[in-house]
Amino acid sequence: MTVVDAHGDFDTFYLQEHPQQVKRATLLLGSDELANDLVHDAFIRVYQRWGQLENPGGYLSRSVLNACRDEGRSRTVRLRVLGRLAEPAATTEPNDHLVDALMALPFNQRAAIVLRFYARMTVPEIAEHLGVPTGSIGPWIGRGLTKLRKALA
Amino acid sequence: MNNLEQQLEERLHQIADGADIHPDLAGVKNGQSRTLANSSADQGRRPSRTAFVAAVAAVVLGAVVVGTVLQKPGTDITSDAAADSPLDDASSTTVPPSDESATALADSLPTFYLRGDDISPLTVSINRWPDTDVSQSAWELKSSYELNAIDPSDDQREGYGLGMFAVPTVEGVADLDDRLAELGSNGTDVESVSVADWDGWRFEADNVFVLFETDKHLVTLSFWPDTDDETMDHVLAAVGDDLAGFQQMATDDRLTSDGSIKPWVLAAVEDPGPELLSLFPPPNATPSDDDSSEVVPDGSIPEGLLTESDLADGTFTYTFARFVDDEPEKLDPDDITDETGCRLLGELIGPLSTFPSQRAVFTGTDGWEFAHGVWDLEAETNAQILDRFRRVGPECAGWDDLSTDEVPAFGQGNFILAAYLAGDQLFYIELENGSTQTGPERLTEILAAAGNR
Repeated sequence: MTVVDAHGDFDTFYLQEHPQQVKRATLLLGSDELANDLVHDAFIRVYQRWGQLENPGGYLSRSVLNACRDEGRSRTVRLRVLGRLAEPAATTEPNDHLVDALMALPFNQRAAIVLRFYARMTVPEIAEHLGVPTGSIGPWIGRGLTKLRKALA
Repeated sequence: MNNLEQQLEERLHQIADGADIHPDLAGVKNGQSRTLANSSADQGRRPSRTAFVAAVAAVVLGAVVVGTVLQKPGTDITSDAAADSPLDDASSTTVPPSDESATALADSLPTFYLRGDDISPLTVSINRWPDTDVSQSAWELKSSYELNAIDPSDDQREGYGLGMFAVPTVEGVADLDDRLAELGSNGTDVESVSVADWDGWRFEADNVFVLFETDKHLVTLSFWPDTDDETMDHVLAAVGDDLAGFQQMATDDRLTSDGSIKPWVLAAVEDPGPELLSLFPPPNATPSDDDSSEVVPDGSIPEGLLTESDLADGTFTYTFARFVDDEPEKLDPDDITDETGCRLLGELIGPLSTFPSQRAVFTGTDGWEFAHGVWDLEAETNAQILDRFRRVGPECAGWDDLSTDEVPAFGQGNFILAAYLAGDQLFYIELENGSTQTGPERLTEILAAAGNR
C-alpha cells in the first residue's frame, strides 16, 4: 500500500532519498553493507511515522547520522571490551590512506567533512543536519582537515 | 579549495559512487530490520559471548556493580515500598551546603571556579585518572560549589571517579563563559580547559557537556536543560581547544517528530579518561536500618551469580539503565509500571531512599530523569545487597540477554552483569573493575551464571 500524505507518497520519498543516504552513510561508516542496514532501519522509522513528521527528509538524515554515530561508538566500545579478540568491522574499501585517516577521525569531524566535501552542504546546512550550533562546524572541519594533513604527511 | 580538499572531495565521491546500494522498500514497509535480519553479517561485527567472557576474564580484576536509572517523572516505576524514593522529586536531591570542613576548605580556595549559582541546573562530575595523585583540584572544585567536602580518606582509591553531583536548583548562566575562561587561564593546577571534540557528545540546544582536564582529572559539566545557543557558543569560545581522547559517550538517539534529538544523555567517559563515572559518596552518609524494599517475593537468582565475597571489598556502585529503543513515545506510564520493571527498579532503587544525599537526579526538558548513584558496601551488609539481587532475579525474564555490545557502556572497564528486557525497555546492571575480590575466574562464573538465565 502506498502511503500518501502532505509530504507525498513514501515510495517516491524512498526512491529519492535512499541512494544518497546509503552513499553518505558508507562514507561515515566505511562499510556499505553496514550503511545499507542502518539506512534501511532509519527508513523504517520514517515509514512508521509517515504523515506525522514535519520534515521527513530532515528526520531521515538525522536518524541516519545518529545511527552512524552510535554504530561507531558501539564498535569502539566493543573493540575495547574485547581487545584483540574482536574482529573489526569489515570494510568494503581498499587500503587508502585518505580513507583510513578519515575513518580515524571523531565522528563529528568526519561527518562535518563528509557533509561539506561530499554532500557540498553549507555550514548552516551541516549544522542543521547534525543538530548542532553553526559555530561548531567550522572547528570540526578545521580540526578534521588538520588531522588528515598530519595523517597523510 | 586546496589540494587536500580537492583530493578529499574526489575520493569521497569515488567511494560513494562505488557503494553497493540495496534498496528494500518492501522490507521497510514490513518493518523488517536489516540489522536484525542479517544476523550472520552481524556476527562479524559483534563478539560472541564466549569471546566476551574470555575477554572479561582476561582483564577484570574485580567487580563493582554499577547502575544508572532513567525514569520518567510522575510515573511509579518503583515499588510501593520505594514510592517515596526521592527519585520522584529532583529537588530532594539537592546537596545542601554543610559541613564545617567544606566551608573551611572552600574559604581557602581560589574563587575563580564555577560556582553553584552560575548555572541551572548543573551537574558536575569529577573523575580522577588512574594512577594519579590525590585530587586536590577536585576537592577545590567541589568545595567551590559549597556542596560537600570530600573526605580525603576516601580519596585513596585509584581509578575511581571522584564525584558527580547535581546543583538542581541554582539559577543563572550569566557568568558561565567568564568563569570557564578564568578556569582555563588561571587555574593553579589546570593545564588545559577545553571542550571535547564532541564526538559522541550530543551538543544540543538543550544541554552542553563541557569537559576539561586538569593534570589529574577529567571534569565534566553537564548543563541541563535550559542552556541556550548563545550561551553554548560562549562556552565553546571560552573553553577553546580540542580535548583528545574523550570521544565516547553513550547517548540516546531518540528523535522528536521534527528530527531534533531528545536532550537527555547517558554519560560515559572513556579512554583515556577515568575508569568510572560515578557519584562520590558523601562522607557523612549513614546507613539506614530501614530496608524499605520489601516488594519482591522470594526467588532464586542463578546460582553463582553474585556472592558476598564478590562484593566484599570496596564501593558498591549501582547503575541501572532503562532504554526504549528509539521509540520514546511508546514509553507511556503503562509501560513504565510494567510489573517486572517496577519490581527490579523498586528493589534496587528503593534502598537509595535511605541515602538521598548520595544521589543526583536531573531532569531533561522532555521530562526524563537521569539518576546515578553510589552505594558504599559498608553502608549495608553484603548479605543485604545480595538479597536484593536474589529477589529481583527470578522475575526478570531475559536475564540471559547478556551482551555488552547491545548496551551502551557507561565507562571504561564496565561489563554487563545482567540485563533484561521488559517490553521495549532494557534494564541492565554493570560490573565494573575495582573490587579486589573478584578475580577473572570468578567473574567468568558470574557472567556464565547470569548468561544462562
